[in-house]
Amino acid sequence: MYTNGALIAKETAKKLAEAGNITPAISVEGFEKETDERRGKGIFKKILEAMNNLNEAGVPFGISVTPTRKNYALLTSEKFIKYFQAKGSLYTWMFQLMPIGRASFDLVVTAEQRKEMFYRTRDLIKKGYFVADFWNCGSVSDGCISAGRSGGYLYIEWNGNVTPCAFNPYAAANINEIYKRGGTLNDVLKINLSFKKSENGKIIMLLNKVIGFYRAR
Amino acid sequence: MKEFIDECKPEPIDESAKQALKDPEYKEKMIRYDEDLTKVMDPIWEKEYKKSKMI
Repeated sequence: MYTNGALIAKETAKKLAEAGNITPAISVEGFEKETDERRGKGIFKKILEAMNNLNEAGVPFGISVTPTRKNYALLTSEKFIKYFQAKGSLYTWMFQLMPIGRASFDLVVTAEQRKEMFYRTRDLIKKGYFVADFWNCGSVSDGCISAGRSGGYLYIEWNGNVTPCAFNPYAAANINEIYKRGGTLNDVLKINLSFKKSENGKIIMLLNKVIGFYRAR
Repeated sequence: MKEFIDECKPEPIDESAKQALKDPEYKEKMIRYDEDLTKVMDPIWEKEYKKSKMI
């Protein structure tokens, strides 16, 4: 569950523990300065409070970060990862900033920075930190894990819209409509049967998968 | 990506996603970014993934 963590009070943490099937990935942008700069003053302290509450309740959690041209070095530093590990974070998900619509490209990491991130993240992983960069770690997951591929995932929005990925904002189906017709999530997964792994790996594999996903609507 | 979205017409989930399909400037920037990435990252993919799979 991706969250800014601001509403995870003690009672909420207790409910999450009782549910037993949720792990919050709490969004941070760096330390206090960077996080409050983007998310509002005082948010960082709320996040730390939420982490305390989750620790007390025994809920496993991690952090979710958005590397940009400005903060990528900090977010891929051992100092940063260690800090949140000490707060109880079990994992770090990295989603490099990707603008949609008319958002600016000014903060998107450059190609050279992405290359640098690849090696920095790999060093962290070699040291035993549980870090995944959803753009750069394709070499350890046989490419893109989207569109419900084997061992992968797909994305269901709050309103039931199903997209291949949280970063591919075009819906091929709506799970609520499928349920109304007597179907299940398996029917959504069947959309993807046209998938064939390509020798070229990465992009071709993703495109085949997503094309199959959309064409089967 | 743009071509098969045009062909299959999946529903944009919000206004930004809708606008992204109509914005030539956005398309241009994405293509340029992809070209930059291809130059820098493809050799890494070749080395770290494809060659390791052949071992």
